[in-house]
Amino acid sequence: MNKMDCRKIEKLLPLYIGGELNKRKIEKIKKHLSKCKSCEESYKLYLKTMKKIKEIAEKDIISDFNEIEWKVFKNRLYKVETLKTIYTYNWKKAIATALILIGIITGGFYFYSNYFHRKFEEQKKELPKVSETIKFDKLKVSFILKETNTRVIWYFDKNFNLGGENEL
Amino acid sequence: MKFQEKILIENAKKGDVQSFEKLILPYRKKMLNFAYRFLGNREDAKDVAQEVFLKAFKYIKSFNTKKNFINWLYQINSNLCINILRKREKELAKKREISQNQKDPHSQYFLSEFKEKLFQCLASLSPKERAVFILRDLEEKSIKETANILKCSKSSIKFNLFSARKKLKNELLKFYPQFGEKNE
Repeated sequence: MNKMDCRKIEKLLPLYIGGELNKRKIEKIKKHLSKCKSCEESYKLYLKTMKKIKEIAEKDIISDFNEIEWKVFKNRLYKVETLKTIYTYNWKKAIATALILIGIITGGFYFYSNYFHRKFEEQKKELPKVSETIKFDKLKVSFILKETNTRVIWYFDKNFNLGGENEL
Repeated sequence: MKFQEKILIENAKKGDVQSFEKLILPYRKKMLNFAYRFLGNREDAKDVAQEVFLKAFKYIKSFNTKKNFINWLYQINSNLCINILRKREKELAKKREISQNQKDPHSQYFLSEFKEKLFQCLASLSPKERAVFILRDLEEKSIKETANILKCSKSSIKFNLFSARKKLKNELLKFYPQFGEKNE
């Protein structure tokens, strides 16, 4: 028997025992095991260990929850249910509240911006217009400083020199 | 999926706790023992099994009725167990080291309980290897089902299964060298 074959077979044995290999490989291993005693022994050893582990695992089990444990669990389950309801209820309520709030805020913003805009326009209308008067030999320029809301009058002579009769 | 089970799932989706209780009744033992084999501790297994059912109830609305309910439970269970194992891995390793150091060779002889060895063998596996081994070899799920439960490819399942079986055999032979003798 070729040693290389044995090594390859040994590597495949963990999956061979569970039937996880493809048919071609399974047939190949079967053939090899029927001829090679050492590989057959290691195959049997795998089977034995797996069988033993399963046996123990099947014997050592937890039968079930006892009554008290199950009661405690049920209480926890009902708490989850209550929390779920509160959560879903609040979730809907929160969305409704948020929508109402958004409506109020945007409405309020729109109203105030319009109100201030109109007031500003009215103020504009109320402001006196800048007037310019040209006299025969003097130029009178009068305007209003918006910042301080004060009227300023400048007098210029024929050569646009500022005269001495400035008024505030 | 059975017709009755479908109805119970639909009712549970609407928030009916009693229907959910009926639904999980046949799976209580399975989930308990799955967690027990995974974690090797009865109290932890009970806690995890309860957590599995609570999570299942919490997220039952997202469960697709076309899928297998018990496999869904196994999925939640294995995820929880893997998470717990990963968290405790360091602690467990320390504990194992301490307990192994404390044992004298004579007391080893008197530790005849095979299950203790079994859990020590299982502890040598990684969380994923353990999940694959328990699902495939102890719960006897198919490769496809195991892959679906653990959300990974078939080849990854086979790889983990391969290493798990190999490790288990070697670990078992470490504890019981006579097991490998021809006359055994």
